[in-house]
Amino acid sequence: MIPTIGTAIKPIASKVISIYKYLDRSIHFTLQYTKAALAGPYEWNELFRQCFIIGYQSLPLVAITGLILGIVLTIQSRPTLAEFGATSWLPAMVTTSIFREVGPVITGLLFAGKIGSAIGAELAAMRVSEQIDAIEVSGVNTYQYLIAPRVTATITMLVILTIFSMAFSMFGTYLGMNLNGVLQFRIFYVQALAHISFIDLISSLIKSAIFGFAIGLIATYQGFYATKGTSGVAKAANKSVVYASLAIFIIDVIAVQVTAFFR
Amino acid sequence: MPTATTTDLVSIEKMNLNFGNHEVLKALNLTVAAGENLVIMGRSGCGKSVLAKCIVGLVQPDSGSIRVLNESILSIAPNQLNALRRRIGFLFQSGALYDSMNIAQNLAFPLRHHKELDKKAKRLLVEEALTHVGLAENYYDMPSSLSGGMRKRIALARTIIIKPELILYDEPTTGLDPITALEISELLISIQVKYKAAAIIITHDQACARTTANRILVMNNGAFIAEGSYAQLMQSAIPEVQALVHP
Ligand SMILES: Nc1ncnc2c1ncn2[C@@H]1O[C@H](COP(=O)(O)OP(=O)(O)OP(=O)(O)O)[C@@H](O)[C@H]1O
Ligand SMILES: [Mg+2]
Repeated sequence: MIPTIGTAIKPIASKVISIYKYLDRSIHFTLQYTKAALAGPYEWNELFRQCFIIGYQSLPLVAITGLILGIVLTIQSRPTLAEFGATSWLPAMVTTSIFREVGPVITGLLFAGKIGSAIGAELAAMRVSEQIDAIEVSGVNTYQYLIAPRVTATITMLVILTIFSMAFSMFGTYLGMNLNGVLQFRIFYVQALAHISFIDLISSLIKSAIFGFAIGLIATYQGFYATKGTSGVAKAANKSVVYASLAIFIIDVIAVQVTAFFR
Repeated sequence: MPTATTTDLVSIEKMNLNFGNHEVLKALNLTVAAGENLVIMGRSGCGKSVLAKCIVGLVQPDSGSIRVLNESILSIAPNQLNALRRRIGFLFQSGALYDSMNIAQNLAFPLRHHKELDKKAKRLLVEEALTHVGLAENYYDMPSSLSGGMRKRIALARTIIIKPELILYDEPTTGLDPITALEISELLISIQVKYKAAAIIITHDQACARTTANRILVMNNGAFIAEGSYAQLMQSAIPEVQALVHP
């Protein structure tokens, strides 16, 4: 058969159409979430339940990771600063990097792994076993009942746990400092926070909120549109984690540019 | 538009549906009259569940028209669709119980938009529905701790709890022993009488079809090939019908 323009274009056209459909669906999904989150009516019970599941259960993980991060960063940075005789800068340096970058990003990545996979798998299992269809058939708006509480809870809890993570990291830094001689906590505290501005804190928390939005939205989307079968659940969980982690790095790069502009 | 206003609760005209290259429903026409129990029989994979999902707007056909309770499902606004769905009962073939909720919460879920009911009234309805299906003592159990047949009966209780005007049962008796299946068939009839509801009952179970049907449609490869009462269909010369309907 002589290839015609028609046969050559066909696969390209179907690819373009499928990308278009994907984009259309993602935009629709985001708009529906926004509408449900802004206009209500709110599913308060679901929201609180999700906040509890997402926040409370991640707290130990975030706290331990934060603490260890503080200790490790302090121990590893000490020799470099000691070369310049600048160990007194240690608390400020470690704390600044934790507040500006490491705290939000590490907590975000932990959330992408723990919460992203949980939400993705849960909704995918509900999709596969027709539970989402059953909710829709009861005349309940699934965006209000399933999506909005999960995304909003992810945003809220990521911001709160990022603050926790920062606090635990600071404590870890203090412990790290105390491995070599005793440093009074008051002195440490003053030194550590000397270079942290209000803008640092606010921009970090806004960044965390955006991370939470991305994680929540990606995971609920992957779960909500999961394909049938057990492999659909595994795929949804996996994609949630991979895409959410990627999103965190991309948002981080953009956020750095934006905050540099304001500083 | 050729949509005659009738008393039919469901009327479907020339509905086509494809999944990719696979033609699942082919130019289907269907009506359900008020108060009628319509049984749809057909081989596995012929498109029965998909048809039921089209009627409640879970699946969109490629062409055709669907009117349910005097609303056009394909052009209805989302809010109105939700309001309409609250008047329809739907039993999923898989049961589709909510894993994260106990039995009582599962049953109360369809009542959440019925603001006229207070907590006590809802509790009474849940207890009544559970008693209907003979599982009153499983009030606080989780779905995962029940057997397949029990889950089916809970799902049935959840379907009828809103006292729907129209009910779609997707294989209400599959997976049940003959005695329970008979009880369920009798329950379907008592619901028809008590709620004056119309129903579409999808089944392969001859006993269930025979007990519950006012009219039977036989489906094959996405199209209806025969219609009539059980006795009429037993006389049919079509092999596909004979295979499904015999004494
Ligand atoms: N979401 C879907 N995507 C693609 N194909 C589908 C989908 N749902 C159903 N089908 C196909 O449509 C056809 C009809 O499926 P349906 O579930 O309606 O069968 P059924 O008549 O209910 O069978 P059973 O008696 O086994 O339940 C099947 O061939 C199935 O493969
Ligand atoms: Mg089926």
